[in-house]
Order: sequence, then structure tokens, then C-alpha cells
Amino acid sequence: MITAEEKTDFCQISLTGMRGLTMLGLLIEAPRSLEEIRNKFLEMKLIDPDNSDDIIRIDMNTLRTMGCEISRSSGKTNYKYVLKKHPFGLEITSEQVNILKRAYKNLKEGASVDLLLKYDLLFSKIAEFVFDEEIKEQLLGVSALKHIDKEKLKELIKDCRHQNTICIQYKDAGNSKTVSKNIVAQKMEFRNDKVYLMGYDIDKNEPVMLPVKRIPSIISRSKTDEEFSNYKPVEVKFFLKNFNSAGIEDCEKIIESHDDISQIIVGQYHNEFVAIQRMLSLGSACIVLEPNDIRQKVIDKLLAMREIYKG
Amino acid sequence: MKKDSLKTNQSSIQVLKTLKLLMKGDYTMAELIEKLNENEPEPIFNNSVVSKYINTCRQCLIDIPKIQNKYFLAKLPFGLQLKDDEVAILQKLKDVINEEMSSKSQNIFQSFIDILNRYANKKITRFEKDSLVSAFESFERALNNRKKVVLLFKNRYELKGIPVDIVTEKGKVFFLIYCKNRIRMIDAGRLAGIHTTDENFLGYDKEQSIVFKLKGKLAKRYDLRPEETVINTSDTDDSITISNRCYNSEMLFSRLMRYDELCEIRTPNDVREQMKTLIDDTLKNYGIE
Repeated sequence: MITAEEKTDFCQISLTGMRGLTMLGLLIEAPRSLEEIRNKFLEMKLIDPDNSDDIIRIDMNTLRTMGCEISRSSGKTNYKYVLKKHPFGLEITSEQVNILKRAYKNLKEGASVDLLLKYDLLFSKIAEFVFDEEIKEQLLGVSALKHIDKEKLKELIKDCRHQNTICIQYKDAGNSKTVSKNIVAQKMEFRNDKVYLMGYDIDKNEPVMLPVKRIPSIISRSKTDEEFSNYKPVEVKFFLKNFNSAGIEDCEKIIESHDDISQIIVGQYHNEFVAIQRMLSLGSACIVLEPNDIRQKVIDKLLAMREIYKG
Repeated sequence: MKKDSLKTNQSSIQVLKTLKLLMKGDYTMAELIEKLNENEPEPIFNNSVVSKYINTCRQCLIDIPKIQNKYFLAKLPFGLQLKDDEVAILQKLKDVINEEMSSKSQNIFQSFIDILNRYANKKITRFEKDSLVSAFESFERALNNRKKVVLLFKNRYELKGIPVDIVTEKGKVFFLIYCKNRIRMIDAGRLAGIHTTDENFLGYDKEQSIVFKLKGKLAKRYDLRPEETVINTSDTDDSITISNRCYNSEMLFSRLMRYDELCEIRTPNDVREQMKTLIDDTLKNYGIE
């Protein structure tokens, strides 16, 4: 917020210039009414109490001449002047945004949804000060959450924190039909460029991971019954050989290390599907040790995959 | 239209023009006068008025120090109001760039931070140099000069090839190098150094397209990656065929393995064979030949 320095030698400064700068600062901060601007000018001794509001209107025109787009005050704007565009914004380049994008791309892997949300809000905040529309679009496009309703996301994060049972509308894959689901919200996760709600489907009695994109709305929420709140993740013990420990996920813990590149690991996964997918993705570096049923399911999947390539 | 709506304040305009110019760069008084007068029908800016306008800006708490005879805009009071956690996550981005990118990239990002610093209520600190930077620079220079490189591993192994790119995956930095007819992904942490040879390279097929088919539910719910296009959709077996412009087949294999029998690599043949070998090798882990 602009405030004038206390010791003012008005011979060495331009009073009208100060009004222009002050008004610009005020309008960048928020829409302002004529009265608010007048009061600020009076407080800063930039006008006298008996000066008319025309002075302020002329200052407004001065900003417009400099390229500021300022709406007229009307009932629609609550009788405030709104600065829609101005040439005093951040002049950042496409090259700078590209570097930011590269760094963000690396960071987003394994990042929590909370952190991604913070980045999304930060990019939006910075973009507000970017005058060039193309750069603004480019900056807003960096966020992995750009196509996601942020308000809905915030609600889901809160539901997960409280482990609420939520009734949601859900669009089934490949099916235009929307169904209702009762889900115990457990965790939000970002993986493979998608945000998932990890939860427990009360009607189907199984853990589920639902892409947030397919949840158009949350109908209601309630406290979760105790019988559903004692959910246990799927635990898998496996051996990893010739594998750099940097690739180990947060839900995985090394329990025995043979050398730098061979370890026994215990992973906790949201459900069996996620566990098997993870084991397969590790390829020949991984041998599932326990439990037996997951080990067998991985083998069955691999045998089915081999069949495909026989042809 | 009211008469007032046409009126403007000339000296206010000139103060704003001075500010706008200072937002573009750092200038001496002479440069400021010259640039400000450039678009005027006759010179109106001189030493005394520009000084007055700079003082006006300073009076409004716009920080314009004069260092080495140049005026530069250090801070605007009506800019970004950053919270502590926002500064922290910007710092995180800087750390990534500091650790994993070349000094050229660091400088570009620093210029972005410098601009933000002028606007922000909180300062974002500068980078510190990283030891890997020189390796990145050698690699990038070789790439730009089209020279082959030799990667020197800590275990004294050497690998000669064409530099392709530097990428980051899950917090690790990798050099992509084309040798023995494929692109290899080398963990920067395994390297002791990089040697740029005098050998030029003309080019190679940096991005090969890998075509794979997805079936069933997966085909219906699959979200295309930016590097992918659908080349065929079949209603008879509910499948889609996708072309992926891939230069990192290891990462793609890991992802496609997740899709189990719902996915099949179709072409090129050598990549299909590699997938087949990967499946066979994984089965061998369980004693299945």
C-alpha cells in the first residue's frame, strides 16, 4: 500500500504525479470507490478538503491515458472503480516461464495435493500481475491442477483430513452416466498427472481410487461410522535388485539393505490394484515375496502379458 | 461527455512514464532522458524534471536506488503480497533449478526472481552454485556445438555417444545419451565427469514413436499425454492405438507394465522385443522360464 514518506519537500516532487501513483497503487490492490480514493488523498495531503472530486476524475483519466483499463463506477461494481488491466505489471518472459515449468514438472512428481494447490494459487497470484495475455496463459498452464475445480479440491482435502463419509456424483469411465457413491474420504493423491481421491466405497465394500476429474459434485457429507474407519492398506514385501533407492515411493520402506542397489522393501498401498500395478512397473528389478496371493496375481498378470507377445 | 473526462495531468503522465521505463531496466540519467524524450514531439524531459519524477516515485515508497550511476527499480509497494509459505515454495523451485539445471537456466530463473522481488513484499534469496553445474554446462555446450561426449563413470566405465537432453525424474537428474542405437538414461550421480570430443554428430532420430494398443476399460478411461496421439480407435474390440513420441523408453516401459495385459506394444519391432524380454526376465524372477 502506498503511503507518502513523512518528511515531504513538495518543491522537489510532483503532487499530481504522487496522486497518479497513489491511485494506481490503490486500484491495483482492490476496487475503490471515489470516496475511498478521496480519503486516501486527504490523508496524504495530496488534495485539500475543499477540492472537488473532479480532480480525482482527471487523475483517473490520466491513468487511462497511460493504458490502464478502469471500469466506470456503477451498481454492478458496487460503485467502485475496477482496474481491469494496466501496463505496470510483471514483465516476465516465455523463457522464464519455461524454466519454471521444467522445475515444477520435476517437483510435482511425488508432491502432495496440498503442495500442488499452493503452487496453483501462487501461479494465479503472480499471473494477476502479468500484463501480457499470452505469458499469463502460459504461466497459468504450468499448474497440474489447471483443469480442476479448486474449491471442490479444497473441500475434498478437508474431507480427507476429517475422514468424512461423502456422497458424491461420479462419472463412470467410458460411460456418460453419473452415479452416486458413498465414499469414506481418506487421502488425496497425485499420480500420473491426475488427482485421485483415495477412499473406501461403502456400498461396494472395497477401497477405491477415484479421479477427481470424474467427481462433478459432492452431494453431502457426514461423520464416518466406526466400522469403516479402521481401514488397513495392502502391505507387500518385495525384493528390489539393481534399483536406485531414489525411485522408492513414500509409502515404501527399506527394511533390509544388501548393498547399495539391492533391498528388501515393505510397501503399503491403498488397494490390491495399486499394489500390483506398482510391482509390475518395477519390472525385472522386483520379486514379490509376500503375501502369496499378491505374488501369484503378479505372476498371473505377467503370464497373460507374455501370451500377448507370442503372436 | 463531460469536459473533465478529457482532461489529464501532464506531469502525472510523465511520472508514470518514468516509472514504466524504470520497470524495463536500469539506466543512467542521460539514458533516461534520451529514452523518455524518444516518443515526445519535442524534448520535455531534462535532468531536473526526471530527478523530480524519480523523487516523486521515491516519495510514494517506490525504491529507486542509484548504483554505479544507474537508477534501478528495487521495489514497488503495490505489488505481490506473498505469504511465507509462498516464498518457501518459490524457494523450493529455485532449489530444484539450482541442483539440477545449468547455470544458464539458473540465471534465467534468477532474472524471474529479480522481477518478482521488485514486486513482492518479501524477498526471495539468491541461488548458491552447485558442483554439478559444470557437468551440465559441458553437456549443454556439446549439445549446442553438436559434439559427441564421453561420460566418465565413477567406476571408471566410459560411455561415448550423442548428447540428447538433461531430464529430471522423481527428484533425480539424468543425462540422456544416444549410443548403440538407443537412447540411454544415465543417472548424473553415477558420473565422475564429462569429456567433450572433437567429433561432430550430424543427427539421429531423437524421438522414435512407439505405438501401443490399449484395450477394455483402460482404453475408455485413458488420458492422452502431451506427447501422444490416437492413431486408431476400434469399436470391435474396444481398443485404441496410440503413438507416443518417446525418447525415454525405460520410463515408458515402466508405465506400460502397469497396464498389464490391457496393453500391447505394436511397433517398432525392436521395442516390442524389448518389452517381451522384460516380461520374460521378470517371470524368471519367479522361476518361470
